[in-house]
Amino acid sequence: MHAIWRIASCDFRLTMREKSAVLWIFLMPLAFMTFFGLSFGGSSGQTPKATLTVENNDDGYLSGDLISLLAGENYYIQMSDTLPEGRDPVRTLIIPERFTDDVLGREKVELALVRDRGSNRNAGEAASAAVIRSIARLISGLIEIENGLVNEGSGSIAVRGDSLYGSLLLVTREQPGMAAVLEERIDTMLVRPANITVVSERAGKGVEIPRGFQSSVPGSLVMFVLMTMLFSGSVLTAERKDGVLRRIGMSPAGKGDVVAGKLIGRIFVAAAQIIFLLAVGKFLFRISLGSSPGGLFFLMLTFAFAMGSLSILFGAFLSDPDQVTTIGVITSLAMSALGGCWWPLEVVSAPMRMVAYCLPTGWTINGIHRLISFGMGTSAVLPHIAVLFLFGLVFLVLGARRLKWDV
Amino acid sequence: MKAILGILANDIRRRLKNPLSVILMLLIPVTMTLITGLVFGPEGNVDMPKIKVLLVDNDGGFFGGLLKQGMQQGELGDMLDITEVTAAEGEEMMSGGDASALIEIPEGFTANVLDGKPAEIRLVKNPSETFLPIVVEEITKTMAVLLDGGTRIFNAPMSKMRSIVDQENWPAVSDMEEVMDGAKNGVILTYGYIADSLITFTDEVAALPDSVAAVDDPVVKDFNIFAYVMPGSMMIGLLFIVELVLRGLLRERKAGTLRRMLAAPVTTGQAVAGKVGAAFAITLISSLILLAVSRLGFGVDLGDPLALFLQTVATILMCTGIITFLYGAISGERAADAVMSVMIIVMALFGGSMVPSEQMPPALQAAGRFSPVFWAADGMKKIFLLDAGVSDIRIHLLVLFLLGVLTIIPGALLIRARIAKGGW
Repeated sequence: MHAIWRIASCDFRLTMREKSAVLWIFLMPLAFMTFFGLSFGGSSGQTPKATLTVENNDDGYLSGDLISLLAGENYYIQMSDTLPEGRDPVRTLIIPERFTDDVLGREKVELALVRDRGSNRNAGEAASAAVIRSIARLISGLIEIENGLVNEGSGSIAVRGDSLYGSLLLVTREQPGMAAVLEERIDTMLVRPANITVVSERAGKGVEIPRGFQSSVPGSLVMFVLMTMLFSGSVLTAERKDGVLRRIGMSPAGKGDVVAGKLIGRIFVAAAQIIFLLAVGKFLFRISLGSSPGGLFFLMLTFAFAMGSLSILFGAFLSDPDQVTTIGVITSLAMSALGGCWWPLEVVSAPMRMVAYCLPTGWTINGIHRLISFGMGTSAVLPHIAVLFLFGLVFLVLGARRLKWDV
Repeated sequence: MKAILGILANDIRRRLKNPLSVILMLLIPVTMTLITGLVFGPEGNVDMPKIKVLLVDNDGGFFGGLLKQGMQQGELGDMLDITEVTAAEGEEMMSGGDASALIEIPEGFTANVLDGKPAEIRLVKNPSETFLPIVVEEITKTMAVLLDGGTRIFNAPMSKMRSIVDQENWPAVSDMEEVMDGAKNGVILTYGYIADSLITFTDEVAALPDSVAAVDDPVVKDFNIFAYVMPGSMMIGLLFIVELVLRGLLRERKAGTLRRMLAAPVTTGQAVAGKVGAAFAITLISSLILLAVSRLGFGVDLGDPLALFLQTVATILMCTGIITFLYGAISGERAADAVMSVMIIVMALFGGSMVPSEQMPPALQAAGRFSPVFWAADGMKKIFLLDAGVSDIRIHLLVLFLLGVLTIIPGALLIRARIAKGGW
């Protein structure tokens, strides 16, 4: 036991002394969390608040009403003629000429929302829905007014038989002073609060999480712990190559002690990394860590165990430290992407979701979501803990059996 | 010159004899591109699964049913997979994350709508999902607005109908006529908007992406996600390959082979030039391999050959220059371990290798212009996706060539000075 502890603590100390290791363990994940958190600030459970540029070619008041309705949605409205120089619009609503007259006169009108390729898809879909809602509110307001005038017996708009005669435009032209009255009526109708509303809330006990960091913190954590562990496989290979491992093997420590020591040393490193990144998530990015510290502890511990074992496996199977590093990068990129660290798994096809659950990364990300996003307890992640433990066990057995003192 | 070419050829021969490390580096961009393509499909259109939505109808009335039917018909029916559940079942399933959202129609919803009283639809979103709950929320809000508008238009006949229903006696014919007349006007007024599509709304994607607006009269090709992802991913691989080759200098110094080389009639400058030249040549060969993989493996249209050639050469020059300069600035292998990978990743991150720059917020997009990777990846993207010619990417070429020249010469001089001083 003493030998195991010595090997583990020695490995931990040596890793922490390396400047490059410290950069990769602590600073790079922090940079990734920040970068991806900011880049995908709109991709949370909240409808993203984006900018909608409006190109208004109409000189009437209905386009102004439509823009006011859009401003009441989750949008920053930017008029195209006030767009700062050099800044391209991301999504633009084009209101055609004579919009007001054509709508009042019941002529055909075409509105267009033009989105740039590569613009945020969520925000684009939300913009489209917001425009549809605003048009619907405008139309229903106009129909109400038309209905009122028909019922009042206005000569300029009437229902005769099954047909409609006249229009609001005709009303404004034939009845002096009605233009101002209509404008006021429309304005009044459009500011009325809706009778039917939708109230949104989040499932589970999880608290609201700042946008973007919700996914960037767990995703970066899982990816960089995996990367650190796979890189540490190259240290094991280097020790085999340089004869360091054989020298340790000459000591009273047996092979089992060496493997256990190496594994525990790696778990220490992973644990230090996880604690640091969770603390950063909690205190810098202000994410919630859920309501089950026990669940999170065991999930992270088994994840560290699985990744530490994978490191042993890599170090045991590969003979060139540089190759371990490069293969480690490729493996960690692939496992992170497929496991849901790069993008939410909900947007991938069913077979790719199945692939995610064949990987430790997929189970870890899902477990973190259960604990943090849903605020569930330890029991909710027991299957995840069991699966990660099994992954770790398989990697460890294969690695230990394969491990030789030299390359 | 002969000595430089000799060192260069020798380095290339050595790499060709043992190409595994370079091949593994090449696998990084190929893997990244392949996975993105596999996940999002070659045309970038994810085959989205139906969105699982739970519906709790505590109302059981007409308008609750109308909402339910509205969500199960037409395009919405293809998009949403609605399962009707009880309130308790719904809460339990949502707590387990078994659906993207739950819609709860409250008790007395129909009565409130008929009476013109406020009625709230409750939407519970799955917190572990990012995109799908938002889609459901937008659909529900839109349905609510449509229902709200409809009930306001038909408010009078609906109120009359309500009073008729509440009566204990049979309704009078005049009452029914009043209802029918009131409803008829609303139907006729609404009909024009529905049948004649008086106001139409088109939602279209701009012909040109933001980042390629500068291209003069471009040809927009069918979107190929590999062509979109490969230029950025490629940059990571190429930068690491230059780094790998130049690191050989440090290792040769450590192993003593550099000293042996300098004992021959070769100056330090020639040795450094040979090594930098070898880095350029090996990276050029690697980029040709990546371009071949892009064309043959991913079906990427490589666009205008001259533009591609110049962009590739400029990119390799920039990569070689930047890494040479960084090597000139660092003190040894341990510093290289600490700095080089981090610098490459940071440049790639801001330059759009991992997140396309169009997807970044404006501040990060602006910061990305300071990363050399941006000019390399963006130029290549224009060639692949828009058939951009030399004149369309002239600024990119200028930036890359300038960066290359301005870094490769001082970088090589710095390395020479370090070796001469016995540094590293």
